[in-house]
Amino acid sequence: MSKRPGIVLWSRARLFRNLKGHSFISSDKSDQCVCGLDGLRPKQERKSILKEIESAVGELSDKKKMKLVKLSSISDCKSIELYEKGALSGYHKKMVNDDSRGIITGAGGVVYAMVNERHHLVLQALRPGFQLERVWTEVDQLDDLFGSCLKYAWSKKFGYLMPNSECCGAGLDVTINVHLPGLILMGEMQEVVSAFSAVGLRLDAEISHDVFIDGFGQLLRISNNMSVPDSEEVFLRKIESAVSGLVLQEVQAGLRALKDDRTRDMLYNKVVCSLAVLKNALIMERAQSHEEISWLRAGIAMRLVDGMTLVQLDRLHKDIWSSNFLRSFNGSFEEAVQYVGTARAAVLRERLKEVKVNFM
Amino acid sequence: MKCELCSLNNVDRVIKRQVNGIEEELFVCNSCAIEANSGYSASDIAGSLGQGGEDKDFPQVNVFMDATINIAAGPGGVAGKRCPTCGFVVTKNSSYKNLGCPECYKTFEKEIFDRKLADGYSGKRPPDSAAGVEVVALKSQIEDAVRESRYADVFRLKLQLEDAESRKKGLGRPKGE
Repeated sequence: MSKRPGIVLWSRARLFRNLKGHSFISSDKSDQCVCGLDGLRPKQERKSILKEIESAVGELSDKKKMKLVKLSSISDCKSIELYEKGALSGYHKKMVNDDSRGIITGAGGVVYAMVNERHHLVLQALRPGFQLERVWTEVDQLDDLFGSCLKYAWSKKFGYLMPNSECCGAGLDVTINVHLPGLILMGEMQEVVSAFSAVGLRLDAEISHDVFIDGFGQLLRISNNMSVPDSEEVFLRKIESAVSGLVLQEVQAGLRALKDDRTRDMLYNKVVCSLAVLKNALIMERAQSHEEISWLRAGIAMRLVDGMTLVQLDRLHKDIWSSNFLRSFNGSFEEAVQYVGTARAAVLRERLKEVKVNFM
Repeated sequence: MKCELCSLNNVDRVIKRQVNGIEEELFVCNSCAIEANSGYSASDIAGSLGQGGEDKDFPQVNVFMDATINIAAGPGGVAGKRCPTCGFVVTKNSSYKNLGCPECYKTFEKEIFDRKLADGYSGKRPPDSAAGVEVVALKSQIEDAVRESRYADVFRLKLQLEDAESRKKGLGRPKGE
């Protein structure tokens, strides 16, 4: 499998760890448990966890260059950038002014871990393309490193302990971002979703479930259901073989879509419309650009488009992240939304000027 | 964060109260919470119990709570079980999806394990587990053996290390844990 983004855009592994002697973090206010309430006591608890992890980071900094940064000291723009990169969860991004939560960063701004997200410590590794083994090795090493300084909440019967008893065990979350236009065009997604759920994997749309059901935006996320029944390495081998099979199915579905008149016309129509929108829009929202670019990506992958490669398009996709435009903007939130939309559309018009649909 | 009622003291607890039939949640200080005591429900008081499960301001609460739990649990329920560390209470409808602390797993071990219907954990072990400690010790023994040129020992220790590492990764059967 390729390390370069193709059908698989990126791979990420996260390990959820909670510390012994501290109450769990929970956002569910409806539950009876006091520790779940997001009041002051949990905040004091989070601060003491943050302090404990900060001292561990200090101890480990001679082995690996890293530092703990409180969320309250991160600018809104930086948090959006980290979120768009996939290094910060949506939940952690919302807590950006909280001084009892933080991130552990390393050389080059890489985010090794989130502190006091839904769990005390969320270790993570993210790589472009299909690099499941590498991200696992990286996150596993981080886990061993932090585990040598911190006492994890662990039991030999349940594994790593979580607030949700159904999720305790390995505490492993694997996410793989895939682009599947062929399978969506051929209407074969339901079978894939069923096959994946049978092996404990989930396929979600990048934006929301509605987007996937309507057949738009073929960027999907494969993730596990938290409870890992086997050892991590056995489970990762299962995911690897499932994703390899999916890639093969997608290639075959793409070829079938081009041979069939109906689906080929549908694909051409989508690619032409998306390219026209991207080349002419005056304002472009993030969700819309996401959807149109995913169709253009399908066109490039199936060689229906000239003047741009997949690598160039993925670069462009990153260049139109909101954070790139917000860095140079000083104004209110309402103005920022309008400004980002306009600036994004201008970049797209400029960069897609020479791109054309190739009618074979 | 300041108390939502007096705006003077820091927030100590969360209470719920009914205003015109609508339930609202308030972040309040201890003194305001005592004043608003008459509007409390059992779950509010349970929610206001701090870590340790005891509350000095509400000495009557624990007795009241236990009685409430027994009623809520009903026949066949696991009445009277409360985590001594965080105050998490089990009722008939508890889903065990929002446990309070790692100690809850010891308190409710049987209930959770019965519901999970699992054979037990077989994954990676932390560095301070028996296998993790064994790995660290063996690595140090190998370094010593190499320094002292005891190559036969190095070979034997490396085999032991491989075995311990696979156990730490959860690939083998746990030994002595």
